[in-house]
Amino acid sequence: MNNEKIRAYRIISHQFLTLVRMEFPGGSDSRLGRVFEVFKQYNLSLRFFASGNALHGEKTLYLGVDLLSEETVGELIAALREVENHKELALISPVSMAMLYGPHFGEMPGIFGLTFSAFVNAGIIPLAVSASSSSLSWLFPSGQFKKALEILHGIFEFPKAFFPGEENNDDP
Amino acid sequence: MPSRVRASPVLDAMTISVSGDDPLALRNVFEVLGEGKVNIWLGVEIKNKEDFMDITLCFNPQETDYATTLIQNHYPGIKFSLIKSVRIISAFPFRDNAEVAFRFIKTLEDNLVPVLALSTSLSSISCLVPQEYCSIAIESLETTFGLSNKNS
Repeated sequence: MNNEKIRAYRIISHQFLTLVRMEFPGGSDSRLGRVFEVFKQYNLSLRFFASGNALHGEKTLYLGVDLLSEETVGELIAALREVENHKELALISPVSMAMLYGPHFGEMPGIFGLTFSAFVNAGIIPLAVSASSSSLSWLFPSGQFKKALEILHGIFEFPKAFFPGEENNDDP
Repeated sequence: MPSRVRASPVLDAMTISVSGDDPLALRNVFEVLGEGKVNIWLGVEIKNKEDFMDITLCFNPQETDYATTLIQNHYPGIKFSLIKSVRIISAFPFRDNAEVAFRFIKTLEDNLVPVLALSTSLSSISCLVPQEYCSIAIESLETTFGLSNKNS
């Protein structure tokens, strides 16, 4: 790619989130449905979530929700500890999220690596990345968020106005 | 509630685990794939408790051999596994809704659909499933969300 900025349609950021990280052993029934049932019961907005498997099969689940109070953190930990088969549970606050939308990203091979390289070169290691053919999302330690946003604004350009009708053009 | 469920074409998935102490290794892999113009349909990278970065990437099957050769030639020490013939199933819209996420995951679990990866975007919730589970995943999700049209 050359040095011209890449057009993106929208950037959404959430600076103060609580990250819930759960790990499940390989080969087990991970009961993710029960985890999401707990989040539904607490009526939490899921700003970010991603799950993937390690090479040896262990599954890690990341969920980012609006910053939780200490009381809610305690209740949530107690509820999530009841989920069967989980191996690890951690709540980390605060973390920050950036999400970038561009319906043409799928036609631009390399965009995933370009952004990851820019972060790593600046000493920023995202906690998690989620990419589709039309969006990129990152979760960062909050202390690295300002720098991460500067990097994104150095790579991408954004229209002055956003057209909400384009939000659903997010092809798999 | 979601108004449509869609499936990607058949893809291949690659899982890589890299030490969090060596982010440059992962950067180099992504750079090589980018320079090779490999189109990533879905990418999920998560740092686990042991500080390993677990990555799932999906490619067109026509690009799988090319992508694996690129990685093996440039970084022979990188360990990865391939899962042939997977599909991304997405429900739109999503909008941060925990109830939609719960119903999405619960439906897949109740129908014994193995989920290889999960992610969300601005407007969708997506999962990666083996090709042979695609039909049951779509049909069950359409039933859950009250959708009658077939999108696959």
